[in-house]
Amino acid sequence: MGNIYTNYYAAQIYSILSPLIGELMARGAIRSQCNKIGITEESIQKQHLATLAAGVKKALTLFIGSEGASQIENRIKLI
Amino acid sequence: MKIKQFRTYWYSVLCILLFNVIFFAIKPGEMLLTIVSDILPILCSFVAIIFLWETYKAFKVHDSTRMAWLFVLIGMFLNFLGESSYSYQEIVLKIDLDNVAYSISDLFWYSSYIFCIMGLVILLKEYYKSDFPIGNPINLIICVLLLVILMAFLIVVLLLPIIRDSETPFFEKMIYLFYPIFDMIQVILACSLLFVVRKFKGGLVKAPWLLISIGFLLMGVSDIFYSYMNWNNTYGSGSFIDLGWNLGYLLIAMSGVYQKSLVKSLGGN
Repeated sequence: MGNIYTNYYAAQIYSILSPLIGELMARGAIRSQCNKIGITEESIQKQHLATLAAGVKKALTLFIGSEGASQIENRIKLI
Repeated sequence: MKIKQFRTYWYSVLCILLFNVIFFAIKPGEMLLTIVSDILPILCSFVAIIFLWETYKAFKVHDSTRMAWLFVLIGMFLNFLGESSYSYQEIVLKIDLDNVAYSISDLFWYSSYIFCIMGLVILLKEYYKSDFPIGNPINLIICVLLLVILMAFLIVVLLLPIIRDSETPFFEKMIYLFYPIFDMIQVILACSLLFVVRKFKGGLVKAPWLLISIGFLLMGVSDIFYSYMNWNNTYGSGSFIDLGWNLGYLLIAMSGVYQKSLVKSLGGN
């Protein structure tokens, strides 16, 4: 499967998330976060990163705790 | 955490289980069998406490995730107290617990259910609150149906004979009934966790959830078998059921190892 995105930001977010939650769920998480703010994965822009990162943090907290999820949030914000 | 360290832990788990199997296979006399059969769960639950404590400490922020692991840790501690007090009564005080309806150990074990179930419920509740998908609805329906059939079977085979028994006093009946009821809840929760965790194939978050759910599933299933055999007076020390408990404790311990490693790799304590 691998990274299927042509959008730079989507590809970067995917590469951050897939080792943690697997390829399938990484794609699912990106899709659901994009849906929440009314965009598609291929139309992610720099200004969307903060909102997307916050959503990802909220979802990941369950698995890695708030601190770990904040680290991932910061990595996404810094793309 | 280095791969070598994980391997060492897994080899240790394997050694304990092999010792368990070999010892039960050779049947070295009733007294020795009782002692080993009583002490191994104490050891395994103690290992679970140590690793879950490490996991709890690795989380720095007190959020619902940390709370869930804390509940599982308390549950394991109460299990440890249950196992220890049971062994003390059986080995030191020489009480024939097969002929005693309830003891202090039951109090610890009942309390442990509450904490373990609460821990699993928090994990599941938070999962459904997160934006991760639940999965194919058809698969979900099939799993729910299978669980309903299994539970119905257990109610008929296990619970109804206890309820219908007219010789056993009401309070003792309650003691016998609570175990399989709590176990059935535990099995349902563990299966639900297994259902969601299979979607995380290849992800680092999968291992702790997979191990904790298999661990609780094994403990729940072993307990159900125990309840059935105990009610029918066919349980004795050195049964294959003991293996399920011990492996359950050890898998829960290993889930803590993987969770701690994951949290640490992301810059935790």
